[in-house]
Amino acid sequence: MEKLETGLSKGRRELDGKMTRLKNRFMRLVTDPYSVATVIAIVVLVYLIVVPLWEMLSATFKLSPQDVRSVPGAIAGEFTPYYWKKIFNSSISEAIFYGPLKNSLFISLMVSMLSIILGGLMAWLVTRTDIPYKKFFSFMIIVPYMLPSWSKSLAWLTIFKNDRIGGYPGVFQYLFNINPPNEISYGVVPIIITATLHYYVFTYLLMSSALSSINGDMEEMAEITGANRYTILSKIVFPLVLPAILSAFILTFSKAVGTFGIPAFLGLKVKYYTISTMLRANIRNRLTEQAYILGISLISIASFTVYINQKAIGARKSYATIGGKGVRKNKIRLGKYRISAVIILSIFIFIAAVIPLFILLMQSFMLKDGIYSLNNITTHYWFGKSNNLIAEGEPGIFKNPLIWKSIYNTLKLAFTASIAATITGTILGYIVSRGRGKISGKIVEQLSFIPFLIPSIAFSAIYLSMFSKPRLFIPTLYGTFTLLVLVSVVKYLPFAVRSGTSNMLQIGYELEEAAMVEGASWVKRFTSIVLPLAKKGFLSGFLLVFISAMKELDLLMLLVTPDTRTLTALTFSYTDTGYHQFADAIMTVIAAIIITVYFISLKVGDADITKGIGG
Amino acid sequence: MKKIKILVCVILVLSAAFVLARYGGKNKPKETWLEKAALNEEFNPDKLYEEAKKEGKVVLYSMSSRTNDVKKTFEEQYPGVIVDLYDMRISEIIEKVEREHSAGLYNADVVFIKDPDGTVYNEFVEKGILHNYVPSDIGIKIDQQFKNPFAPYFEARSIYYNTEVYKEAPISNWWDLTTPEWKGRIMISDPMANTEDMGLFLTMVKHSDEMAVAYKEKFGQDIKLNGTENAGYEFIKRLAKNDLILTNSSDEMIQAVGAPGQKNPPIGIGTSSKIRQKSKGYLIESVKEMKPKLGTTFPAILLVVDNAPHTNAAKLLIHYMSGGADGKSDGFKPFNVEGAWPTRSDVEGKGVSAGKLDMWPLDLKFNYENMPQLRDFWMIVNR
Repeated sequence: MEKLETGLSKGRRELDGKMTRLKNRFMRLVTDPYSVATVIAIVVLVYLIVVPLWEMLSATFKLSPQDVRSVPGAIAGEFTPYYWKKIFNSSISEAIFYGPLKNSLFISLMVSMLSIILGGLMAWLVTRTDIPYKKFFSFMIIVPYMLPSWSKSLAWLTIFKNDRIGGYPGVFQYLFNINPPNEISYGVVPIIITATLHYYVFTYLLMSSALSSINGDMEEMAEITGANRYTILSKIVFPLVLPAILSAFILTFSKAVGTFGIPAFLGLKVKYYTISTMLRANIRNRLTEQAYILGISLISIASFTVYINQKAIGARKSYATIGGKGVRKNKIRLGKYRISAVIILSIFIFIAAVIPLFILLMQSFMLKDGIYSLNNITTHYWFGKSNNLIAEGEPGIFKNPLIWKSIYNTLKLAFTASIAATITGTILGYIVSRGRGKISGKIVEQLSFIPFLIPSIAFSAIYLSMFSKPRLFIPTLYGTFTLLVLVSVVKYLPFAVRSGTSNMLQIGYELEEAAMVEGASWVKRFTSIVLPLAKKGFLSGFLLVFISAMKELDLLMLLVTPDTRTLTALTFSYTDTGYHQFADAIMTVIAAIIITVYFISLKVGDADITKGIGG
Repeated sequence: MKKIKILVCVILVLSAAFVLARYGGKNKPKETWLEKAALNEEFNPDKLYEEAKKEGKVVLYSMSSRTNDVKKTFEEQYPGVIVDLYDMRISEIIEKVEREHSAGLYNADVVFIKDPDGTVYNEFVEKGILHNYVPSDIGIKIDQQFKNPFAPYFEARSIYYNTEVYKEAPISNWWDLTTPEWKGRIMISDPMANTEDMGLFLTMVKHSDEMAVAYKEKFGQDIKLNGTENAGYEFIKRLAKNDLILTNSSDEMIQAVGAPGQKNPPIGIGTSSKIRQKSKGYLIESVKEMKPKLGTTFPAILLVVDNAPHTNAAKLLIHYMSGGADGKSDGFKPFNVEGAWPTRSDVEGKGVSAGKLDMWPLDLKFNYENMPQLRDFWMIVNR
C-alpha cells in the first residue's frame, strides 16, 4: 500500500513538475521578447505574403460580375473553371498564354546566358587579374544597374528607331542614312540586348563575390607545378565557381522572366508580348482574373527555377553570404593583354553606361524629335512655360507642379521604404541569425524569401485588389501613399532580410551573452549592442532598397494614382503619350539623384551595396 | 497576465466597433444622398453657386488635358469654387471610380469620359455608381440620343493622311485598308489598351451587312468569309493581318503621319479632334468620306459620381462645361474645335456640321454585350 501511495505521489509530483515546466516554458514564450518578436513576425509575414497569394489564387475560381455576359446562365461569384480553361485551353490560349510564355522564357534564357558571360568575365578581370584602375571600373560597372532597366530601351529606340513608325528618323538613320530593319529596331533582339545590359550587373556582383572567396593558394600551387593559365582557369577556378555560376544563372533568369518595362517599350510595335506585358494589358482591360492566372504562372516559373537551383547546388545559403574573408590573392598578370583588356572594358562601359545617359540627355534638349540641327535645340522641356504649340501646352518639367509633387513623392517613398525595410530587415535578420537551427528562424527566413519569387507586376496586382477594401484592422489603402510604402517594403524584404541576417551573423552572440550575464534586458541589448555594431551594414541595406525604390516602375505601375504618382510612373505615362523629351528629362533627374546618393554614401558612410544585391 | 487580458478585451471591442461602423446602417445615407442631390431639379444658377461656394470645390476626373483651361476659366467665373482636376486615361478613370466606390471612398464629383464599349453605362450608370445629370435648360436643346448619358459634344475616329504626299484622301472605303498597298503602313492605337477602336470595330460588326455591301462596291464581288462570323469580323481580321503598327499615343501617330519631308508616310486612325495638330506644323488632313460610313460617334459624357461630396458645384461645373446658358461659356470653348461636334442645337461647330456627318450611332448595349467576343477575336487575329 505504502509503495503504491509513494508511487502515486511520485507520479503526481512528476506530473506537477511537468506542468510547471510546461508553464514555465509557456511563460518564457510569452514574456521573452525574442519569442514574442518571432511570433509577431510570422503572423505579419503570413498576413502580408501568404494571404495575398491565397486570395489571388481563389479569385481565379470565382466568376466576376462583368463576365456573366460571356458565360450564359452563370451567376456572378460562383465557382468556375472558366478562367483557367480560357487561359490554358481555349482558342485564345496561344495568343494570351503560350505565345507570350515562349517569348518570356526565351528572353530570360538568352539574357541570363549573356549576362553570365559578360558579368563573369568582368568579375574575373576585376577580382582576379592585375587590371589597372580597378576602383574606377568596379564603380562604373555597376552604374547601369542604377538606372531603371527600361531607360536603356528608351535610348535604344532613340538610336535605332526606323521609319516603320514614320515621322522623324532615329540617330542611326540620320548618321549613316541606313534604315535599320525591324528586327533591330523592335522586338526580341533589342529586348535581349538592353535587358542584358542591365542584368549583367547582377551576375557580375554574384560572380565577383564568389571569385574573391577562392583561395589563391590553389592557383599558385598549380602555377608552380607548371600549369598554364588556361588549365588553371578550366581545372581550378571554373569548377570552384560553378555553383555560383549556376546560382547566378537561375537568379538572373527568375528576375528577367518577370521584367515589364523593357518589353513594354520595345515589344508592342511589333506585337511581341511577354507574360508580363500581357498581364498588364489584361489588368488594363479589367480582366483581373486572367491577369492573376498569368501572375501565378510567372510565380510558378520563378519558384521552379529556384527549386532546381536548390536541388542542384544544395542549400540556398551557398550564394547567401559568400564570405569576403581576407584571403590573400595573387593577381593573375595579364601581361600583354593588359592594355587590350582596359580598352575593351572601357568600350563596354561606354556603351552600357555612358551612351544611354548621353542620348537621353541630348534628346531632352531637342524641340522636335529626330531633327539634328542647332536651331532645334531648346530648354523648353526643362524650364519652358506652357506653350499650346508644344505638346498640348505641357510646361517644362521644372515649371510643372506635377513634377515637384512626383519628386517629392519619389523621395518620400524611397526614404520611407528603405528605412522601414532596413529596420524590418534588421529585426527579422536578428530573428533568423539567432534562430539558426531553430524552426522559428527557418520559417521567418523562408517566408521573407517568398516575395523574391513573385514578379513585381504580379505582386502589385495582388496588393491592388487586396487593399482596395478595408480589411481586418487595416483601412482601405487604395490610392494612399502607405500602400506604396507597404508594397515596396514587402517586395524588398528578401534583400533587406538577407543583408540584415549577414549583418547580424557578423556580430558574435558572445557580446550579447556577456550583457545578458550582466542582467541587460533584450531591448537594452538590441539597442546598445546590436544596433551600433550593425550600423555599416545598415547603411548598405538602406542604400540598396533606396536605389531599387527610386527606379522602381513595375511594382508601382498599377498602384499609383495622380496623387501618389512617382517620377518613374510619370516617365512611363509621358512615353506612352509620345512626349519623349519630358520622359528623358525626368529620367536624367532620376539618374542624377540615384548616383548622387550612392556616391555620398560611398564616400561618407563607406557603404557597399554589392553584397546586398549579390544576396 | 491581467494586462494582456485587458488588452485583448480592448482589441475585441475596438474591432467590433470598427466592423459595426463599417457595415452597420450603410444603406441609409445612400438613399438620402440621391434625394438630396435632386438631379432632376430645375437648373438654377444663382442658387447653385451660393451652395457651391459653401462646398468650396469640385473634384473632376477628366479624360482630356484641355480641361486645364476649364479649370482656369471656371475659377475666374465662379470665385470661391476650386476645380480639383485629375487628368487621366479613360481606363484609369474607370478603375479609380470603381475601386473608390467599392472602398466607400467618395472623392470625386464629376467624371468626364467616353464610353466606346459601353462599360461606363452598363456597369456604372445602370448600377448607380455614376448618375446621369442633364441641366434642365440645356436638356431642351439637345437630341434624345445624347441625353442618357448626357454628352455636350461627340467625337469620332478619323483616318489621317499626309497632305504633302497625298493631295486628296488616298482612301474612300474601309476595305481599302485591307489591300497590299497599305500593308505595314497603317498606324492605330493598340486596341488592347484603348477601347475606342474597339468601339468602332463593334459598330462594324453590328452593321456587317453594310460592310458586305461596301466590299462588293470595292472589289466587285460578294465577300467570302474565311472562318469568320460576318463581314464586320472579316474586315477586322483582314485589317489585323495587314501588319498594323500599334502605338499608344495619338500624338506619336500624328507625328508619324504628318511630319514633313517623308516619301512613304503611313496613314493613321485616331481621335477626330487631333486634327487641331494641323496648326503645329504637321501636314495632316482627315478623310471626309468613307464607305459604308465615315465611322462611329463617340459622345463625350459628363456624369455625377455617386455620393459626390460637392453636388452643387458638380452641377454647376457640368452646366459650365456644356456651354452654359447661352452655349458660349468658356467651359465649352476648349472642346468646340474641328473634329468635335456639339450636340446643342444652339451651338455652331467648327468643321463639317453634325447633321451632314454620315456616321453610325454608338450602341452602348450592343457594344457591351459583344466586347468580350471581339476582344478574344482580336487577340487571335492580331498575332
